Amino acid sequence: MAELYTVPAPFYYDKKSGYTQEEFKKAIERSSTIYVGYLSFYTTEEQLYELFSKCGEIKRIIMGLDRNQKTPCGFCFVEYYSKEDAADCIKYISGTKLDERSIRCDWDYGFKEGRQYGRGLSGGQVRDEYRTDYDPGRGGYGKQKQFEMETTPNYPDLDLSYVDMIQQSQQQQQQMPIQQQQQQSQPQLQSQPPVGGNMLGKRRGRDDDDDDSGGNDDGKKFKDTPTKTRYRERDEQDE
Amino acid sequence: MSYNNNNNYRGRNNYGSPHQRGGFHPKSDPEEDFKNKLTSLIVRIGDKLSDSLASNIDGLANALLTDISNHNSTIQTILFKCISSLSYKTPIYGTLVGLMNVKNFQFGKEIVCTLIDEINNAFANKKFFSLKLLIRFIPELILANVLHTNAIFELYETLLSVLNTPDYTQNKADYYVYLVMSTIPWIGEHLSKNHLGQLNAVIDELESYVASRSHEDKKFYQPFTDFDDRLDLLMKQIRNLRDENGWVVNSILAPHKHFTEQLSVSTQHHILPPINLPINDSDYEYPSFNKPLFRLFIDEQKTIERYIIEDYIIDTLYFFNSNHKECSRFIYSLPVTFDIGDIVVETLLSEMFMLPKPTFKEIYYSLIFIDLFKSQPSIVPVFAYAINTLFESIDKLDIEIIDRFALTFAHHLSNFDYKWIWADWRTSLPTYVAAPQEGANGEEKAEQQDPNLVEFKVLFIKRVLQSLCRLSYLDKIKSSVPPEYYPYLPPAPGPIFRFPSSTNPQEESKEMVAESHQLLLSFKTKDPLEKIISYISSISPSINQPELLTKCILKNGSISFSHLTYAVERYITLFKTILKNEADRQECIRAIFEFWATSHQHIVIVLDKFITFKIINPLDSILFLLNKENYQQYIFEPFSWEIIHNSILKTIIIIDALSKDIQESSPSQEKDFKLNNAIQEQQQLLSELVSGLGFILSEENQQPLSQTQRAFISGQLKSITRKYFSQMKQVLSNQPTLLAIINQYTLLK
Repeated sequence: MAELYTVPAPFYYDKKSGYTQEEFKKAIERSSTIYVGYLSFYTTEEQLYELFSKCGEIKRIIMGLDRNQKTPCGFCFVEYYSKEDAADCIKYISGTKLDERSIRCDWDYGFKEGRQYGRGLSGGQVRDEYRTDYDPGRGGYGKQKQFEMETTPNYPDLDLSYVDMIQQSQQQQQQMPIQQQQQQSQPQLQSQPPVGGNMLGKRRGRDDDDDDSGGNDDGKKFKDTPTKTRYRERDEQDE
Repeated sequence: MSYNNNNNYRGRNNYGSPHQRGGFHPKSDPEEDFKNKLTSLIVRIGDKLSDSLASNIDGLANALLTDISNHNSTIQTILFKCISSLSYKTPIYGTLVGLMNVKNFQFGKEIVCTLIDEINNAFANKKFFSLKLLIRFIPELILANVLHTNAIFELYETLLSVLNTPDYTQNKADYYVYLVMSTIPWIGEHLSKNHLGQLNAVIDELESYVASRSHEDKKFYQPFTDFDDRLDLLMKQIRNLRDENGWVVNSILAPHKHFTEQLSVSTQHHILPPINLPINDSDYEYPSFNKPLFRLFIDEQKTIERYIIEDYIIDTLYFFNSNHKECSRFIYSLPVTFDIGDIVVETLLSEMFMLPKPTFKEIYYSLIFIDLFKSQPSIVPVFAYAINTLFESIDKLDIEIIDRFALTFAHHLSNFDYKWIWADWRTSLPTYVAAPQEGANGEEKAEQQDPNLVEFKVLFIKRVLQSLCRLSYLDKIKSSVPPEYYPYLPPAPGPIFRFPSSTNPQEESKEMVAESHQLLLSFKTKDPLEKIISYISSISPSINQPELLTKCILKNGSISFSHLTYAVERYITLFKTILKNEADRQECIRAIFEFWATSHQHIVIVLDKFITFKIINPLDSILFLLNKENYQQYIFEPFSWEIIHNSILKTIIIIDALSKDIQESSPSQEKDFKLNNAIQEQQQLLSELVSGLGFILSEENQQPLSQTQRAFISGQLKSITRKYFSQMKQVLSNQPTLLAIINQYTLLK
């Protein structure tokens, strides 16, 4: 009985869920949804289906998307029909590899519209804002680091903080009409999928990020992988 | 509280003075802390086997004796959790209780009573794994001089009394006989000294039962080559223990031998309260012992050590299921002095290949292999040897097992960068041409191979590569295998948005193409549903409406499954309006197969979604695959069987949901009607499936099957019958012709 040996992990509570701690606990108990993290941006839904259906019939998979670009940003929700299968998913899939990266599975309190978007300043996941390692499967360096590397050498006295820059660019985006915004972002995405990946001549080993994947394997993946899929929003105009 | 010199217990300083801790951890509850400490001590004793085991037990006994007055029930609870789940430690706890019993006779008595309560509970709650371990504690209490030796014969009499009841099933009798047999290695040596006659009498009784058993169904559950079932083998192993090994067992701990003197102080024994065997056990699913065991390495099977270690591993897999890392660690802390790599590999594969289904999902066993690769590198060559052996005799594996093997193997490789001895295996592929310098060797190999074996190897390789590509992507896998494998890789997956003309499939029907543009435009501009419906109804009757609609929706949903769900969900009503009858639904399925011809995974998942949205029925997909025009193309492909299994599962899910609803809320005529309908549909599906496969296998079939194809189809039929036996029973008893088909074709291989 492994329970005899292991100390249960401390209870995780997502303050942004809008639940009290008690409600949150109950929601988790009822849930058959799993949060999956540490994914490569290039991992597709097809791959997720193949792996996660090994634990049971999947009701749906919701890809985590970059808030601005609507491209996968390294996480997803997997909802099973049965709670038992979801529990098996935590037991059997968390910590194993998908696309050569160790992925992580946790209980989730249930998907709600809006939760598919990254919560980081620049649209992706928070963890990709401040990472300092180079991870080709997740857009190269962390967003903040990319910003520093792009700006500092050329404009050493530029008095623009990372946060300012993000906010400015978002304001610009909001002002643009939707149609135009799409036209701008679309070709850009297809021509240079790995953000930050092509501007760097050198690479470095990863830092002690909480991601323990072999992310620093090399840039090979860009060439082999089909272009990242852009996802539609629920009520977006068809192309 | 005194701890002699048991430095093994981590953190004992904290434990020694609980009141001190308050200052450092104001929030911790001293009572809770104490309990955790106690648990840790009792659980971890014997984790690292060393010479100090005896003194550790002695130390723990003394510590617990001082705590009994205040924490008796806590101690007992923890103790029984350990006894009923930590498989190899039973002797440690037996000796522990023995030592405590000498100083506190009342405690010994309580343990005996609790043990029987626990056994009775385990019987009542069908906890068959725990039950075996609890029963095994009785011999240990005898060895520790807590119970009199006669207690074991009382136990045997109780358990074997089942054989004197009038209407026992073989499964039930097997289990009770097994319980008796499973204690013998633990107590045989002791009994052989003063009670040899009685022991032999029991063994004779067991032997006569074992000899009388039927092996009728055995072949149906054979994963690999023919082999003894567990009970037959254990009988041989016990005989071997008695006749060849003089009752000596090495892999069972015997700590009581260190305390012979101390334990003999106690002259009085406790009385074993009666065990209540379950009376109403008609709904019990006793574990089965009549399936051929999966064996790869035939050596040393007859020794009792083989049984004991396998038994430890199976128990560990069971009780440590919630934490695979602890599980693989515990397997390698078993009390053995030799390398158990081959037993571990064989046992894991044997559990994974259990028919009709393994105790846990296949991925669990695959995961244990992944853990062991990291923590026990010595297992790697054994694993490779086992996989290679299976590959070389792949034609002897059950068809369902070939598939399980391929999928779990692919999962394994996906965790190790797809590295495998691909270069070695390529020589058995038909695409292999020996390089000049390799010369005769390669050719020789190619000549020797049985064509049926080669076909099965190709089938297996294709399935492995397909699964790898699904877990990864085509180019990645292509760069990981030698060129000989390229012909067996699946095509690059992509949608095929074409409308082949009915007269010339090479060309597209111009009408259809034009209409499809129109329809896509209506989707894009979000025309109201009524408008789209009236538009489709108005187009020329020569247009295949189901095909047009299906392909256009698939086109919109071709980017990802999220897109697909979105596209389908939005137009369910449209589908339901356009697909009027079975013929229309068949056209819809055909369109799906055409559209995703290069991606089997998509076909499987799209069909599944269509069934979930009730656009098509589970039966429709079966009818499509068995259709005389289609089956040649699809039925020999593993993905078709994914579809078939998914379809059957859907009917099971529907029936379960309906019956649950009736049970939980108030029944109504409407609900009963729905349930009956669902059952009828399931029965129809199964009977269509069996008769369809029967036709393909029969001589009426004008297109003769190859040996491999025949084995494949009959193997799948066997698998379906095994897997859905409870659903199938009704169908077979109503339709003897179907039963005849199964009898005729499934015992072939």
